[in-house]
Amino acid sequence: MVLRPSKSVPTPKQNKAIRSPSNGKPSSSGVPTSPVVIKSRRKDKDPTAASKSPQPKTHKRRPNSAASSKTPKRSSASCSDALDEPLRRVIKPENQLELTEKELEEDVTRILTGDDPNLPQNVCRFSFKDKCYKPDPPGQGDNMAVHFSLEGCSMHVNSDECKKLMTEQEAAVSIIPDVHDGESSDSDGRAVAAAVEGKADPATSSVLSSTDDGTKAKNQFNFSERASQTFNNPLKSRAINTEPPLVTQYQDDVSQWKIYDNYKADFLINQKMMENQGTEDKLASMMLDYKEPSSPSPRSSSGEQDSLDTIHSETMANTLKIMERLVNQNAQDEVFQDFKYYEDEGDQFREHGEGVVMPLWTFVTSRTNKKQVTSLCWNPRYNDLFAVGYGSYDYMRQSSGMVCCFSLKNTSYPEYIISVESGVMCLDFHPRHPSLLAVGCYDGTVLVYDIKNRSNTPIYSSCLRSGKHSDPVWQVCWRHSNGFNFYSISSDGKVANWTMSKNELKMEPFMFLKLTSPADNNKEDSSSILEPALSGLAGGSAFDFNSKLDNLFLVGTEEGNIHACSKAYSGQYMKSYDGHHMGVHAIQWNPFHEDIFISCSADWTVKIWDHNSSQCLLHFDLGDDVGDVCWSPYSSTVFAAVTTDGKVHVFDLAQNKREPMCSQKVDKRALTKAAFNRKEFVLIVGDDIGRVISLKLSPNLRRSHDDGGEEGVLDDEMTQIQRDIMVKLIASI
Amino acid sequence: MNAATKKPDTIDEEEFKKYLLKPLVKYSDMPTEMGNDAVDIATMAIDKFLSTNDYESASALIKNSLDKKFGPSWQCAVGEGFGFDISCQQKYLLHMYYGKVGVLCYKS
Repeated sequence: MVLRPSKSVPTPKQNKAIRSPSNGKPSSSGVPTSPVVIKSRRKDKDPTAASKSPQPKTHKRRPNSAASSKTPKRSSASCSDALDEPLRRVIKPENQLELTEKELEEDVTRILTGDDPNLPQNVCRFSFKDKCYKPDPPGQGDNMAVHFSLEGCSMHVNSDECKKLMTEQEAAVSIIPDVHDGESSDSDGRAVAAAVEGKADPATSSVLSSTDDGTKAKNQFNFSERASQTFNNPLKSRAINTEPPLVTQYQDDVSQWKIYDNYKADFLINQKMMENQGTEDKLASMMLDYKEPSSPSPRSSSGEQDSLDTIHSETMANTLKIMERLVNQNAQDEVFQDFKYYEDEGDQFREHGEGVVMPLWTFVTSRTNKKQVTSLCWNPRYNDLFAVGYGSYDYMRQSSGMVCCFSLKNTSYPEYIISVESGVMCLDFHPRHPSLLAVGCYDGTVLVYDIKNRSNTPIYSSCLRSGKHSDPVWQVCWRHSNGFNFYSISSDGKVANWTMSKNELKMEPFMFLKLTSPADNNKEDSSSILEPALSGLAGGSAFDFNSKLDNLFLVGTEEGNIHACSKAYSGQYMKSYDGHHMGVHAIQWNPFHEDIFISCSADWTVKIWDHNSSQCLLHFDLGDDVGDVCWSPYSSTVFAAVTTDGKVHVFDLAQNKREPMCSQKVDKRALTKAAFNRKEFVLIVGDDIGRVISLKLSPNLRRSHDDGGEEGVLDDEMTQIQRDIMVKLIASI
Repeated sequence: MNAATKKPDTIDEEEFKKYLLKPLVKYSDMPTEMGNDAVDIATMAIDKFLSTNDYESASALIKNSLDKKFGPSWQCAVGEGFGFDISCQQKYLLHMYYGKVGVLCYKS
């Protein structure tokens, strides 16, 4: 039974105050729905006033306060100091009656009964005993309403727990506190050891905390507890199942007879094998016996030697070569198929009969990738073999040179490699002896190699004593098919004839290229000759001998002039042509018509000439430095030119006298040289980083324009036909 | 051929007795090197315990050595007569004879 609706914890003093009026009444139980219930006398303005003595000021300020309920309310100001005593303010309920003094003086008698008027009187409950509903009048406990309850936090002083706590505190403060025992245990279950003098805070009903003066008690009411929870990471579950190892089934049984049988079977097999081996041994020994008498014969001894060095034998080398080619052919089967059989069908649909070139292989070796390709030459006998000279055109970057002979049958690695001290500038195969290779170098030497020897030492080499060019040799050319002599042209202004004698290479300079000015060309030939001072010689850069007129040859110079010369009159030019504005890079007679020749130059032009006229017949501007030009071997009107922008230009004059039939970029680098194969329609071009690219000409580029172009046509006839075509062409210009 | 087949029958006895002292692999799917090692281990273990006919110890030794060498969970059976029907990991099966003893090793 609780008498007060106050939420505050009643102090012992307050309790007394409440009890005193209730003592006078016969029944102290009541329903505390209204504060009036507690009052016995109206006069008694505030029965709890005595308990509020700590703050009389508050009451003075509010004289009307008759309310018994006082709510301890924390003002916002007091909130700042949590340990301050709670501020008390008396608030009147809104529905409180306003009574006059007289009314207040009046005695009102009220009897409080223990009956709860709100309690239902007619409750029926099902009785399981009697199996029917029975009225259940409110009993003893039903009238009770609990409005407040507080768990006591006090403990008995004599209890073990209390003693333990005491000792702990003693230890902490080292002062033995006075503890009142016995009577201090109250019927209300109130504080046990609380009333220590000097402690003024009535709100602190804490039992043991106030025992010591030194420690300040915890304010239970301003106590706040805080908690926070950190973010929980979401859980993830992942499972992996490994593949179980492979399992096999196996069944058998073991028994003595099985073991025996197995051993026996194995033993028999072993025996047989031993026997076979034995017979073989016997046979071998017999053979040896048989051989022994004949062993001194030369055949067997050579056989023995061969067997000793099988790996380095010649047969092995040949076999390996074939194997290498086989492997290579297998690896590049598609390219080989293209090379042999592919015909570009697109040619039929191109408007003006233009064609294309299709790149086949690129020939490179790691040893030459910094060098420029300076010369290309097909072997006159083996149509698949060609020689490539490596060197450098750059005066500042001269290094050693190299000659590599590639074969179309083995496109991955050169057949022959020859290292040369100086950069190779030109080379030429002997027309009758396909292994003889003449080489001209940047330092002015000329060398003759026999590539069969597979050695880096030339069979002939020019030296200072026997004669030597003093500047780069730009072109070498075998002349007499039967003899062993060749010509060379060099920047030092000399055209020399070299003869291979028994011991050495003999040089015979037979032409000094005199400088002529363009103005001189208009004068008489004889007057145009300047003094043959060595310093005044023109640097020769290209020459070519006429196939029909043995003595006639053309010379192109670095100044851009072209001269026709004769071996018979080495002192002077037979004829001079208008030539080019810059150095002539290549000059070549038409293979079918003896009067026509072609020249190309660094001035971006290719010119076609009739050797009887000093004016060119045709000229083409290719838009870049023309590295090389060459007539095709199958048609008198087809020629190819390569430029430094990596383009290949193929012309067919019979089809178009102004535009190339094909102008295709095949390389990112500058192209330096080009050469047609004699048999296949393949053009090889070299670039300035040591690559040689083989290009297949599409059908439009290989027309020979001979109407009766059947097989079996004799070479002479073919030449005649081609010559006629050229003649017609010239006439039409 | 006849002569050849008869021949070993006649030679038999001594040679064959010698032959019986060698291990004979009835079936093995192990890689060669591992198989050789396993055969060595088995023959060594049986040699050790042959005098006492203590096949249990021999099999225990074989199992333990194989576990140590090729990883765990080996099973080994040694005996003069037994039958079996097993499922085992591939490449880890050896069935051999050594003298009068049959040995079966496999990884389960």
